[in-house]
Amino acid sequence: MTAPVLAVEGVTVERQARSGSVRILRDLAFTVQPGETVALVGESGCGKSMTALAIMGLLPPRIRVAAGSIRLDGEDLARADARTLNRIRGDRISMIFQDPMTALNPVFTVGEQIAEVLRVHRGLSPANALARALDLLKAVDISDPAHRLRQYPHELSGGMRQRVMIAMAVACEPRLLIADEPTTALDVTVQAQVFELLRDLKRRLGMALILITHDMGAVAELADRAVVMYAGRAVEYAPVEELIRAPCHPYTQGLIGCIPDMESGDANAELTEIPGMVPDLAAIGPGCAFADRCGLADAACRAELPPVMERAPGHRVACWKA
Amino acid sequence: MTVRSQGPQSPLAEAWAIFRRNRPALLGLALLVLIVAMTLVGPTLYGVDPLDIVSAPLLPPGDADAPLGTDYLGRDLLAGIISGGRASLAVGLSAALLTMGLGVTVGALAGFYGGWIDRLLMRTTEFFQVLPPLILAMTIVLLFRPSLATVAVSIGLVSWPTPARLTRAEFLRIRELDYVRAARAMGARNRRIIWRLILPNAAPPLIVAATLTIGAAILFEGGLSFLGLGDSNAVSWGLIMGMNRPYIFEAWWATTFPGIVLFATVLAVSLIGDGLNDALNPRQRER
Amino acid sequence: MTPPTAPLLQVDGLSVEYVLPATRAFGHKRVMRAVDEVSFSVARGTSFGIVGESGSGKSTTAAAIMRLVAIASGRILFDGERLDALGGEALRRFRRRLQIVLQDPYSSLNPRARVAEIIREPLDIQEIGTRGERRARTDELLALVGLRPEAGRAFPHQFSGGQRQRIGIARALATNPELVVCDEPVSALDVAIQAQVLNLLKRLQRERGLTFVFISHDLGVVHYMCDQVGVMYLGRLVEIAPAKRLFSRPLHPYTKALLAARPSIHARDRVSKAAGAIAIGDPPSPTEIRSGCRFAGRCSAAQAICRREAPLLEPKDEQHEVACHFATP
Repeated sequence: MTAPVLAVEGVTVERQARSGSVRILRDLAFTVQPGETVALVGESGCGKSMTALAIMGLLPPRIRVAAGSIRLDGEDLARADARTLNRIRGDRISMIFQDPMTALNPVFTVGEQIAEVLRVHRGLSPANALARALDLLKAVDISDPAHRLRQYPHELSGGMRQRVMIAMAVACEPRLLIADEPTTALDVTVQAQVFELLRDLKRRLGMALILITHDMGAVAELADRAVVMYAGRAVEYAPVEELIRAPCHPYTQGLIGCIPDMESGDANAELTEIPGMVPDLAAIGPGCAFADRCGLADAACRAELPPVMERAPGHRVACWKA
Repeated sequence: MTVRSQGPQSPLAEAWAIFRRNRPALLGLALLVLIVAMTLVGPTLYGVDPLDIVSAPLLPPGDADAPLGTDYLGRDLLAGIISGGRASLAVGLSAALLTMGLGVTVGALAGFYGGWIDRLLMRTTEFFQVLPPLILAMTIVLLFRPSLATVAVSIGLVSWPTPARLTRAEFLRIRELDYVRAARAMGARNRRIIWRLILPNAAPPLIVAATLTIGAAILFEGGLSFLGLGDSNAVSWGLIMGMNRPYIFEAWWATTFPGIVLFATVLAVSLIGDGLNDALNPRQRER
Repeated sequence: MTPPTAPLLQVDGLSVEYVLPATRAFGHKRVMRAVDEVSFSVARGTSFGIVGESGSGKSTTAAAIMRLVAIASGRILFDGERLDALGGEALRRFRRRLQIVLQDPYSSLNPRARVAEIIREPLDIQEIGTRGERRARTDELLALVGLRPEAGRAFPHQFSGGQRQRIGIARALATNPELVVCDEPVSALDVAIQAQVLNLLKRLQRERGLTFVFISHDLGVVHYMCDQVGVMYLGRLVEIAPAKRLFSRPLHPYTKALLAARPSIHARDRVSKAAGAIAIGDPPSPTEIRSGCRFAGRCSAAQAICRREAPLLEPKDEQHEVACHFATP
């Protein structure tokens, strides 16, 4: 096996509050190989976006990495200072967000914003940076790129704005791109185009991708491996095909079962429900956080936290009943 | 299924819980209670008639007969301040009521109905806004006989555009929210939508505005009286200051003490207003 | 074409127009057709789904059926009555027979009212029952959507999104309506919670014989919920068919593009997507509609005629209507 681009090990993230600290991420560990796509999947509040922010060193105030390491090509980002992180962000790792409208600066043109990245990280002259920005817009398949370069974000459609975001993110040919719900705000036909673009860029640039999503369909479309997260913990790691064919954790099974699926036959069959709702992170007991919503849970599940166990090569699960 | 969060239930109870933790606002509330109590029970505890000549004119504070000194006619300044509070507070309160009444009505009609009603009302509002308020108020007072009522009305007439614009903005915003749409789909009449849905939800900023308006109106009354345009038959803080204005260099106390009380009252009301703003501001609450 | 029984809802040539502000001073105001000549009918006790992307006019269609926006032309027949012609008190009284469930569980509930007041509101507005009866009905409705009676005393902000949507559903059912328009009722919810709400809606429909008009951008949700489905694109219905048929044998290139674009957990089993099936570019703005077929600019099969002449929605057989010059299975 080659050295991973990113190795997250034992990462615990805590939020400082008046009533003590709350663990938002617990003992998270996963790796991303060069050129690989890893999906972090789960419901809102499961910690998937917080994981991205921890990797980027962009955690909000009063939230910090309490334990563990986040190594990018061996360099620990969890312990890096602000200057190092600034140098790395936008260059070796970059990130795209759900809402491209708020992530772009409304008072600068698209061209100026892409050029800015290149001037900061590559020290290009304004003219060279702008010429390179034009190439990037071509690379993300924007129609009439020379014209778009001079437009402001509000003049573009949602899909085009996300393409601009992607152009900015890949401007320095990063080792790793983190995409946080990149298509949630887009229409489905545009989403398909953005997925296609991401696949294409990955192939051309050989970069690794972390896809953060709530959509199992998107995971199946784009990812090689997936990490299923629940209440701040990774409950299942598996190659995507295996995860969908034979999910082990009851939560993963629920997540897959609750999707209205038109390929597999009977529309009259009820959707699988996961009863109840995501627990309050401050009120999680000693056992498995999913126990209260799990049909298989017993006293042991509530008493003791299930460790992450290897079920098959590359397939790990944290469940007593799996 | 269980209710997610415990804690205070109604939005009002929650607002009070936040207000209670706000020290400046509590201080303002205590100060205001003190001042109101002074004007209400003061005259019975301190039985000096504010219009009686008790001693020599312009007596400095510390005198046995007049603790805060006397004015240019030899009247007791403390008695004047105590009973003057009634007129000041009454004018402030009624002017604020008139301001809010006019402003909210105009703003609500403009915001809810839109179209030509909105255009007509907003042009009228703008007309009032471009006139200098003090000059306009002075003109109104001079057209009629200066009295507490005309002073209050004149203040109301110059102050309503601000709450009108605020109310209109809130109505425009809330009118389009889904719960108002849902009510329309149920067949709710306009009356119900305005009174039961939009007004209660527009209330927080309006309550804050009303509070601050009281302070502004008290100050405004003081200004008019200071300029000699108040009701010369009703003792108010502004009137005392205005009457003693020519002697400000010989007898600083005769203008300063009523000024301090006036200042304290407006400060108290403003502190309460700020506190209410924080307490009622929905952005401070979790969704 | 006519279903065996008379339809509960029949929409006939419905158009809704919005006036856009002039782009130049003293310029002409432009009129945008958000819904253009839409016709469909819904049999009693069934679900009619409307799918489409943003700007397709699906939510405006829902609002027009609910008489929440002005109708430019067309007829809406509800149980044989001209709903579009009703006004004033008659419309107000009629509203008890049709209700709406809205998308955003946060903005659709009055934050200053207790849950019981929210659920009771339609009964108060429609003056149905005595106070005691209304209270009993409120408890019954809470139980119906799986909430405890105590929930009635709480305020909306104390509930999660899924629970709030249950409250919205209880409110919509208060007057025992025959038709419920569901406007993206689960798109603001997490998947696990979506399933709970969809199952609840389906159970309620079965138990109470409700008729649904179900608006969604999610093909899977519509497939799960609906008997009959209409696909909208830029204000027009481009295809109508029974759900199973539409998803297994779509005729319109736009429907095919939607199906091809939908991320599926079976992505790997699927034969690699036909390149032509994916729509090109972004949907144009509804304000920039040109003549001809509205999908022509993004359609890989478009010919000269497509840019000239707008195809009409025509039956291909007794079950399937499509608006395309070159519709092929």
